[in-house]
Amino acid sequence: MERMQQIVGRARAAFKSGRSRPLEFRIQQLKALERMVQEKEKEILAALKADLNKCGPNAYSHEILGVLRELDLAMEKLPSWAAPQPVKKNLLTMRDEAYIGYEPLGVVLVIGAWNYPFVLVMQPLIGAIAAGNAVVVKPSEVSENTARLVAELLPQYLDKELYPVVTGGVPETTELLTQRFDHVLYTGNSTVGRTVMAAAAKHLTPVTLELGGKSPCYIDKDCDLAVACRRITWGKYMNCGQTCIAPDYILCDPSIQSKVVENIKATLKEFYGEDVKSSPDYERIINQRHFRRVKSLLEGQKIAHGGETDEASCFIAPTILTDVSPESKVMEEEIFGPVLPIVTVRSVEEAIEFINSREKPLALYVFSNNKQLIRRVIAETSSGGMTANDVLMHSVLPDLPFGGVGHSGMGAYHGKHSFETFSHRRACLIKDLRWEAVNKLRYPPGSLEMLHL
Amino acid sequence: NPYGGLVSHLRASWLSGKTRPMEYRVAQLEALGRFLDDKKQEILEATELDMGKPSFEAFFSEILLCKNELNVTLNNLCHWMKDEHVDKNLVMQLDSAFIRKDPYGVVLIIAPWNYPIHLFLVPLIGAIAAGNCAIIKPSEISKNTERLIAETLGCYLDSDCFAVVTGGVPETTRLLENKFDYIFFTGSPSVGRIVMTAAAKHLTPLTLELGGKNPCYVSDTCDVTNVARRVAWGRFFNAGQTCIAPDYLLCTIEMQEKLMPALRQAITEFFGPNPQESPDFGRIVSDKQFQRLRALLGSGRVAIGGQTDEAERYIAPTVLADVLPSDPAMQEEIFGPILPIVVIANMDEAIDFINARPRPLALYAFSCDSKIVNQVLERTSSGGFCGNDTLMHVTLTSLPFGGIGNSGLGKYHGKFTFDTFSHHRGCLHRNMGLETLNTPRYPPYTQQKLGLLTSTFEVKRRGTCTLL
Repeated sequence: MERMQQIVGRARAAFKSGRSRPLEFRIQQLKALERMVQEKEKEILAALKADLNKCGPNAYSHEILGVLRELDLAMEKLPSWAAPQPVKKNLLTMRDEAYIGYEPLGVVLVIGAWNYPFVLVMQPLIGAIAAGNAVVVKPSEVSENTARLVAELLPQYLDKELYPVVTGGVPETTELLTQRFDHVLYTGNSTVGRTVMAAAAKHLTPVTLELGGKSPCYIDKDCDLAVACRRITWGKYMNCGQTCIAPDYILCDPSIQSKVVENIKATLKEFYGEDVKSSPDYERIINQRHFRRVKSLLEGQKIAHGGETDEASCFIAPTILTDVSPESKVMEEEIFGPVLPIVTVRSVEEAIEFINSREKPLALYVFSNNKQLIRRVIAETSSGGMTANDVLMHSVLPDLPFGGVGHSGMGAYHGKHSFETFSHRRACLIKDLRWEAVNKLRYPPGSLEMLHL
Repeated sequence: NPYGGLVSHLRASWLSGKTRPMEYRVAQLEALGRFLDDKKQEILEATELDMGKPSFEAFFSEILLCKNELNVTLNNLCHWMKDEHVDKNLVMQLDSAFIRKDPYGVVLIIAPWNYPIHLFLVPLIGAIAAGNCAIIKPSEISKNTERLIAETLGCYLDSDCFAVVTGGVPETTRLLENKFDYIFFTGSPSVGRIVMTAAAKHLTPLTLELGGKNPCYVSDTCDVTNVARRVAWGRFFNAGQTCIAPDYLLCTIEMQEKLMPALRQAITEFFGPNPQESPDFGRIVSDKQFQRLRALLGSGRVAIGGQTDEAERYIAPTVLADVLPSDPAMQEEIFGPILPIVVIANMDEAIDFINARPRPLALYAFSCDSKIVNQVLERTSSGGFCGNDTLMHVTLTSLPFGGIGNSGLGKYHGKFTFDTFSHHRGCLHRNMGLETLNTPRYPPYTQQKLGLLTSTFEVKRRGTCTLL
């Protein structure tokens, strides 16, 4: 308890000193982070390999490239993001200065997840630093190698008091959450999301919750199935299915179900070769607990492809299930694994109804040549974000806000949205002490006639 | 669950999609406008009965400001609803990338008693504009206005999509057991915590417009007459029952001396020699609030006012001098027509005093020297800030209105209300062709592919050589 209090207390004192506020300081810290990523690339990739069996090029493009890009963007745009924004004035305020000032919130808490353990602490951290805050970083203990590395590296490159790293599991995080923060950004599941929000409520702390859910993927009869299935295969089995915005399940007409299976099978061979287990590009399930969880989802299902597992190495082969019943276990919870159920629907109406009868997902995908159909799916459903005719890609554009809605989360970040999430937009009106005559209109004794002026 | 049926009914209406077309939203908003026009007299009467609200004030805050928000919304709705297209990277040049403004669904608006029409209606404008269904929960403390809203709002709005729920704490607690897609709460920080805790169970996002003690710093270099007028106006409007009222004044002992006659002058100008007889000065909303406020009069010394009349729940416009930080008047948000003056030695001391306390909803600084105003602004934190006046920053619809820390989270007014009640959905509509462009991202992974990927996805710092 005391340790957490001390760490947060030190961060708060450091924030109060004011040193995290000047733009030069923020950019200097961001530059240091950039150096860290460039100099310690090997160590970061090694940690990712140890945690998730992520191979070099894969880990680089998913975790390091994204971070470098975000850093570049923040350093480039910070002066314009942080500049006061003048606003439209009315008749009464014509002579005044009216603008929105961007100010840091104070001490923010970033809680990372284990599936993309580096980028999921780094990206929020970048936004929080850019906005001028002190940041307490809590990487996920489940991806222990990356957590350890982050705890070692950050103090070597960044201001130690302003940006402490806290490691540990549930007890440590619970303790941490009793402290007062000025914003909490949490990435993880809905259950813990509720706990985080309830803890934040005690201090009236705003939260950004990046949660999950079952992201549906509707494949229309009218589409290039080979292309669609390749893109879906890529997004689904990346990181062994452990991606919050992975297409969780497929909805399609029964007449194309077997073609979909064939195309995915063909793509899997293209990507991972005949023996997936020996492909350096195929990851593993993070730990035994999740391995067992995902494996149990296969019970009683029609396995059209895959299904092989090996507990010792937490290996689950890329698997496709067909004719899945909406009531089965695999359709209840977010799969977060390399298992792709196909649920058949006879029309896009049925698909929309199916999607809307469930919790709002983090991502939604639709494949079709028919633009009208795509527009309709977008208009008649709700989701955190969505991509049509591809998967995952909406999360790559920094100008698109990345976040959930309903059970999949609240708030958003990436790019400028991170900066705004971690800033307070303060309304500022600066008037003159003269020109009192104009004010007389509003003072008592009042007559209603005066108001109509 | 006594409200389960009502919430289900609204949810069914929401799922039917009827609140989404712009025409529907415009029709409902115009109906709200007619409500304000038709019921103007009733609103003035109800708020007078509730807290002796002067007609002038009621018209200004409950009708005029609401109509402004309505008109800003109606004038701009088409534009606000449009998809916002964003910058794309190299590989997405043929794609469509935009932010779609989706309604949340069924939202809950909980309003307080001090500006009982304004504080449900302005959020409601945004909720309707954004395409949601809404349950409105007005305050039971302003009971005449509550009755008016419950009895007449339904005649103007589509009752399948908009409902009013009345009642006190038990009813609100039961209401909060239901799942809403957004909650908008205006009230005290302690109830704000309860609302947020309830929202957490359903992962419901929310906006909390709370309060606190809004400091008002007056520097030694200022036009005392104008300062006194502007501060007195902001403090005594609605008999002080305003979340953004200047709660207490910070100044030097010399300034306190200069201000006192100026404040006395301003109060007399506004309310005459006996404010109890002025039609322009309000009353305290309830006996409970009256007792609470009367107890604060023992802080410091009464320099102006101090008279009370329990039968009328009247407390005179009062200024307390030489108030100590430990006095009762400095322990809670005053929310009444009492202005304590706390003496400090200089601006630095004032800033330290402010920063040692929870961050307020509003912060005021008065000085002829703009450098001083800017110093106070830069060295403090608050929801909003107004230099050389009080309250006025919230009348500009282009400025966001909201708190920070204990004074709240989220913001609204103007477009900010529309944005508050919309989910900003990142959308990317890609081309099914050009599949070769995607090859670098697929396994089997190679360094060469990585190089290609890096060059297409990288954001280059300006000043470095780039093909773009």
